[in-house]
Amino acid sequence: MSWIDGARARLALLFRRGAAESRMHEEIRFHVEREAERIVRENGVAPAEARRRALVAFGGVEKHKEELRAARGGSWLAGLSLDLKLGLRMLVKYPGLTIVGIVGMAVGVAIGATGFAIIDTVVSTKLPFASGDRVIGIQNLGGGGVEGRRLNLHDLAEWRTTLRGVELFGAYRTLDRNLITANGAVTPFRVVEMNASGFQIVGAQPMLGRYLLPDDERFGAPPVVVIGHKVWARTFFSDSAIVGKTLKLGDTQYTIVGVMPRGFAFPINNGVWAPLKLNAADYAPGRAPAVDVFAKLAPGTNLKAVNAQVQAIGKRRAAANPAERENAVSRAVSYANSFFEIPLANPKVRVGISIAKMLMSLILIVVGTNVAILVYARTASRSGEIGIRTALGASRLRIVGQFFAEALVLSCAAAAVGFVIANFVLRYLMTLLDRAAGEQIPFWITLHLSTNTVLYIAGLAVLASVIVGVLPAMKATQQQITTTLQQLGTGGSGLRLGKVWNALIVAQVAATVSLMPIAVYGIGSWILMRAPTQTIPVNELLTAALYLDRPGAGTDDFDSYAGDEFKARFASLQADLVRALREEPSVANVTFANSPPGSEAQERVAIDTIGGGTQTDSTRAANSRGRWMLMGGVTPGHFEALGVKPLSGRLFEAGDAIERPYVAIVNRSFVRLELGDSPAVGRLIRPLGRNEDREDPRFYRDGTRWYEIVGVVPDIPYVAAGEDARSRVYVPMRPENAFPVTVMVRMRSGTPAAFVSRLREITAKVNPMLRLRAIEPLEQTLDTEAELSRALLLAVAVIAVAVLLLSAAGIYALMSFTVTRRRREIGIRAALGAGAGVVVRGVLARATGQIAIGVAIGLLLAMPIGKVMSLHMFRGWGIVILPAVVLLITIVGLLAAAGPVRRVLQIQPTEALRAE
Amino acid sequence: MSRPATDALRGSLDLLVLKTLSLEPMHGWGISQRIQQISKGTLEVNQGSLYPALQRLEKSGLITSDWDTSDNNRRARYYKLTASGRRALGEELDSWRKFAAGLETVLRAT
Repeated sequence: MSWIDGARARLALLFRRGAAESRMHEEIRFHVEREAERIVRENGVAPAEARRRALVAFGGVEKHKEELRAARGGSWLAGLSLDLKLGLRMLVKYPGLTIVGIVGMAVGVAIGATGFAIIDTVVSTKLPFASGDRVIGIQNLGGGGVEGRRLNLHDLAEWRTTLRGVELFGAYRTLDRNLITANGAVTPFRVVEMNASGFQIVGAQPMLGRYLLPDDERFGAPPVVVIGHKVWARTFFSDSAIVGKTLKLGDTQYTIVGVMPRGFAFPINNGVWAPLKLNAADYAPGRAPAVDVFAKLAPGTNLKAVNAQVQAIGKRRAAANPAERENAVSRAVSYANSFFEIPLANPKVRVGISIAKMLMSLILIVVGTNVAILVYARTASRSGEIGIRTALGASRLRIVGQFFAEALVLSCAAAAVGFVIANFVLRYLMTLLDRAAGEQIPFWITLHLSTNTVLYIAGLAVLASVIVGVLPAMKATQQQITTTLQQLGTGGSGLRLGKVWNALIVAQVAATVSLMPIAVYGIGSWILMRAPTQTIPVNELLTAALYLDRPGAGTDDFDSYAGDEFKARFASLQADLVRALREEPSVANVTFANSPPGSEAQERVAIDTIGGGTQTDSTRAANSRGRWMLMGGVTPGHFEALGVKPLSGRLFEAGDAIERPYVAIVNRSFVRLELGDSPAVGRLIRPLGRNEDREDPRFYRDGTRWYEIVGVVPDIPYVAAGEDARSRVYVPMRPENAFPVTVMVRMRSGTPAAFVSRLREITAKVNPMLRLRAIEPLEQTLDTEAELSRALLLAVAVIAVAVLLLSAAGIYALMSFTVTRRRREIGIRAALGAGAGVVVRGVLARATGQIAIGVAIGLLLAMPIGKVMSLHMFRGWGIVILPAVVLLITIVGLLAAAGPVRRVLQIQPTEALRAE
Repeated sequence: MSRPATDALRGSLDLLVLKTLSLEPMHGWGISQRIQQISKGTLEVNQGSLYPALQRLEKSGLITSDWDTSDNNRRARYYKLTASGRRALGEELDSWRKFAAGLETVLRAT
């Protein structure tokens, strides 16, 4: 059984490496001793001489040992563990390179991994239950006629009866309602009305009671709901006798019939389910409420076949009813992917996604190349080591392998740090997403480091090792051993760097300087972030978005919020709410606006030329595209409620919103930025609307009306440090014309936070269909915003510092390397009688020249970059930081040049000449 | 270094080692001595290159090795032929003889 014997021998050699080594040593020792004894015996020479002859006869002990090691097979494995140890030692030995390399590559890995995780989450989503991949969505996409989802209810009947290979059809729609419990607690909630088949598709069993049944959907059936685990725990305090109790959704009372287990949130991210009681027959075609349709593929069918059937039905229905369904498209899609509208079937899209994933690693490649330059410079100082190892019989592969292993240690450390950063960033993003739109994010979407992402990070680490270790080693092992060994004696480095490397220094400096605007902005703003100066009493204000729910209307039935009848009702309920709130002793005032202070929408505004305008003004006005400003609608009395006094002119009066709608109030920054501090009252401005919102009547203005400025107010709410002052324009608004309308309550006593639940109760008591969302003390809103910008700025600052650090190190390495290379030349010049001053000046002049060219190119590049990103790098702290960084780079470069020059000057002329 | 020469040497060295071990199990130094003795000094191999050959043969399962006590009471690694090693020796000898005979014929003809 030769292969078994062989395999055993191989395994022993491979895994019992220590044993194999000692066996080899012992065998060779035995051999040499026996041979020496023989020589003594036969030739009668002294033992020492005999041993020498025995060794000669053996012929190069180390060479044979190396050969044996290589032939053992898997020698790379043994080498690797040794190399990894060496790599660890290198990390300690060169702490500068270690820190720079790890920080730089960790940032690269973190960016790559975060980007990859986000793409991966969005692209490869799966429903987390058995055969979740067979759940499909059937959709109509609207054409010129009506919104596609309004066709779904009518089409569903035909899909049910004609589609082959599809089962468990169901539809759902969401309703936003106040969830009012028996004890009067009010929570705004997104309820889902869903067909009973939704429960069957997931296959989950209720934790308590039952889930919804088709019978519940019958007209006249008693209203029932099923609640989710979270609602059960939070709103009903895990009441085990919950089944049979009631709750109110808006103005309708429901009986709770079941509780679903933790994790069940189908169809989107829901926690309260009611039966869908919609009958297509009750509506004209195309006038039905918008619903979404889901179904499950039966075994043996595929999505493609079903999609073809759905398309055929869509075309037939469109032919029968061209007016409504013009250009409408019907299709079947994977349910899990239907929320992101990514056509994964399209090969071009797949290629695009792959490219995007690869681009995510681009930053690491750039960073890695930089680190590679550093490693290459270090490799130069180790060329002697490489030469000796090669002479002792190590193959090129073996040496490259060693450098790879060393780089692997470095990049694994960086990957570990990058992993931690990416994990933190993803968690933070998920928290933000949840806070911003919790119930709109599908329950199966969670940003986390998936197995795929971890594999990707591992791949990035290997890629980085190849760039950082293999490339420099390949370059360093190119030349002949003899050359290296010769140069070893002279102290010069044999690695050749020519014009390319001089150009690299210039490019490196230029790249560093051109990144300045971003770096300056990030670092500067982060340092300067501080509590904003307030012009209104933010700690006394509570803001919320006020909605009025319509019976029978779903979340997306927008048209039910328009119309005079609805507006009149909304206005009268608002008046009731104001009255109720004014009766509260702790409330000082109530006011309405179309957005909270600081969240006004952007709009283009043109300014007149009359009223003593300057030449600049007329240029602006002639430009009919106007300038972007923030535009807010406020009710008369709004500024008074906030305690704002006009700086000039007047505030809005009761009649402004009705009889004189074309008046405006501007803020202090408007006067300064747009009018150059000339008087504003009496000037005319023309809001041009937002092009992208033409279909939204809230923002649409025909752009022909001139508004007269009647007053100037201070900047509200604040000017954040680092943020530029913005021009703001306020126009009078009737509260029923904004939906939702922002209600602001100013407290007389007590904190705004303490009034939140009371405000909910009062609002629900005025009318249960009046619903508040995003109730938050204004201070908290502003804090959250500040926190977000702080986090963003921190990220920018970290990246900028990492890049700066890396560049500075790169410049240092390149500079010190090129000067070291000129060592012999400098020595010879010194030997020929050149004074120290002349030599130093010569070297520094060249270094300074390279840095100066780099800085100049960098600044030229920085201007457009700064302009594109509209960062003002010469404003505020930028004016200090920018020269500081240029100075830093210059000092780093000169220091790098100075060290080698000093060493060179200590060389004796004889030494330099001997080198020749 | 020219590879073909090494390969030719390697091939014949393998044959010599197998032949030596077919007589009795032996340690590395003993093998080298035996080859020199038998060839009466005409085949002087670089002693060190014996060990890679032994390792190679062991890996291909033609020989096995174990620690044992040598004639002067020292620990030594003894190699011995396996069954397949013995088979391989027979085949190698056959082909070597054919090769040598062929070569002889050619040399005699010219």
